[in-house]
Amino acid sequence: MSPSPDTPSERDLELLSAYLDGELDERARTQLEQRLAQDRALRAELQRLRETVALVRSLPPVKAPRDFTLDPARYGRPVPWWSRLFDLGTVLQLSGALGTMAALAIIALAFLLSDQGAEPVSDQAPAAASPVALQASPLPSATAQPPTATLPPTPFPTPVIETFEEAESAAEAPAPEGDLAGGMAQSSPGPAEPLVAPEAVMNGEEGAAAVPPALSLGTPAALESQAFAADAAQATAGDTTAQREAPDEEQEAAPAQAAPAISGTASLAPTQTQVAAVAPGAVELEQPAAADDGITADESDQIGEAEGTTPAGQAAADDDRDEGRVSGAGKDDDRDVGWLAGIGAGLLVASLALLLLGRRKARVR
Amino acid sequence: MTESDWIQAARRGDVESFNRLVLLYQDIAYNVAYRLMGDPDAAADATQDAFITAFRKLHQLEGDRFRPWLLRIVTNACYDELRRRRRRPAASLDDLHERAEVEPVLALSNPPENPEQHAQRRELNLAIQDCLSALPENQRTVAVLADVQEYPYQEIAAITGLALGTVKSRLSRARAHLRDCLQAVQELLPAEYRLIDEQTSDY
Repeated sequence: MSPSPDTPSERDLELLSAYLDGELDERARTQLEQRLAQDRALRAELQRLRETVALVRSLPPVKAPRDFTLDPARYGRPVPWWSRLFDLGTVLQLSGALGTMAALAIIALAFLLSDQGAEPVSDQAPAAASPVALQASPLPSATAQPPTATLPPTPFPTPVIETFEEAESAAEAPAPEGDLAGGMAQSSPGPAEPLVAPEAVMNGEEGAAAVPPALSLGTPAALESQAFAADAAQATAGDTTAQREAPDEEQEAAPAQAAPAISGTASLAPTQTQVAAVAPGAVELEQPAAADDGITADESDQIGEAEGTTPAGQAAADDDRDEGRVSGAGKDDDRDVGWLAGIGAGLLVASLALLLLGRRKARVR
Repeated sequence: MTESDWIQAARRGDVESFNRLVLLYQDIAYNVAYRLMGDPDAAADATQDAFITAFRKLHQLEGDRFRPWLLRIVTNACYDELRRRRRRPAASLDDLHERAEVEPVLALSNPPENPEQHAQRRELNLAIQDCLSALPENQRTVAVLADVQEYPYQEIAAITGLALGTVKSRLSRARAHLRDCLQAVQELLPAEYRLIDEQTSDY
């Protein structure tokens, strides 16, 4: 390909070519210029290259012979659909929202069913009743409030008390009937006074920590709702290394425990934060319906597991085992409903994750 | 509205906004296509294909650097179109014949030229184009972008996806080929086609 013997090497050609374009760095340029000053053949080659480039650059620019614009009628329609799909993540958000609604519907259904299944048991504890429970469904923050309730010593429905006793014996947990009553009596003085359960000094790993919030319900005949709230708070607290604290400490320690527990769950992940925020609500929703501890515990169990807070799930399962003896007949139904609630909670997590993903996508665009 | 706004709107499927980009860049796109292909009709087809492709793939454009991205699509469309035409021998056999008749619409005319000068200039342009067309594809792209479009190496690297060093060496080799080709052409201008055949056989 070399037409003349004095044609420079490929390396020199490359240097000359880059030199013409001003694309050599300072050092290479100086070196080449020194060589050019001495090397006549190199200078001649540079000149030939320069002429070649000048010739090519002399080509006149050509204008487009016509407009290449696209016909909106032909290209306009299908593209917005796709671009909207990909650009905004709308589909993700939409499915997330639908999934959330479906999950809430499933959970609500679970509670409806659990209500029916629990009816016989709730008969055993008649006074516990929905009005109380309705009040007993505070938001997580409300649950974490210091106990302020007056709990007049009321006759407790036997099954519930047994539950407590058994729970206590099983997990070395407190609150035998009489003691509870005693505790109530002690703590009942004023409406704003926290309930202290003296015998609640324990090292068991049950939901006793959540008892004070439950007491904040401040209604007579609230023992059962207290129990519910305990379970609810347990589910809320998730992190049920919740200790049963000394009675004195309990009024302060318990709310404090509830709060860290919640935040502990919340800190897991953004999605789980939302789940944690929703799940307690779900449990509280179920309170009015669930007149039986076993149900609540059962469902808490499921939800707790769905949240991935295994300790809570286990603790709830312990409760479940204990209290299951009380709930007796309703047990099987409750199990099914618990599964339903678990599915609902799982769907909720997935849906919220989708929602978040969709939002992020839309924001990125 | 700025170019960036048009790109955003076009990404959402707004064809009118995209057409503003088309009007802004169609001369550049067509000029590159014409110099790569050496045939006005083929260049028009490739340019049109490139704009359609660009509209469909606009979501793949990162940032607002539309020109290098578009020119990459244009060069790909040109070589696709060339391969397509090569598979249809009838069209390529007619090439030499048609080329002399179909002249691109020149953006700049040179009024002071007399008819003879005009004819000579036209011959020379065709000869230069032939030398460009005789280059291997990867050298041709770099030569057109550097010496027809006069883009800096950095932009050529962005368009071709090559490293700067590769751009430099390919351009150098392309210029060496062009130098040999054009030297022969200038010496024997009236018989340019035969000379170019000789030149290409050297590669």
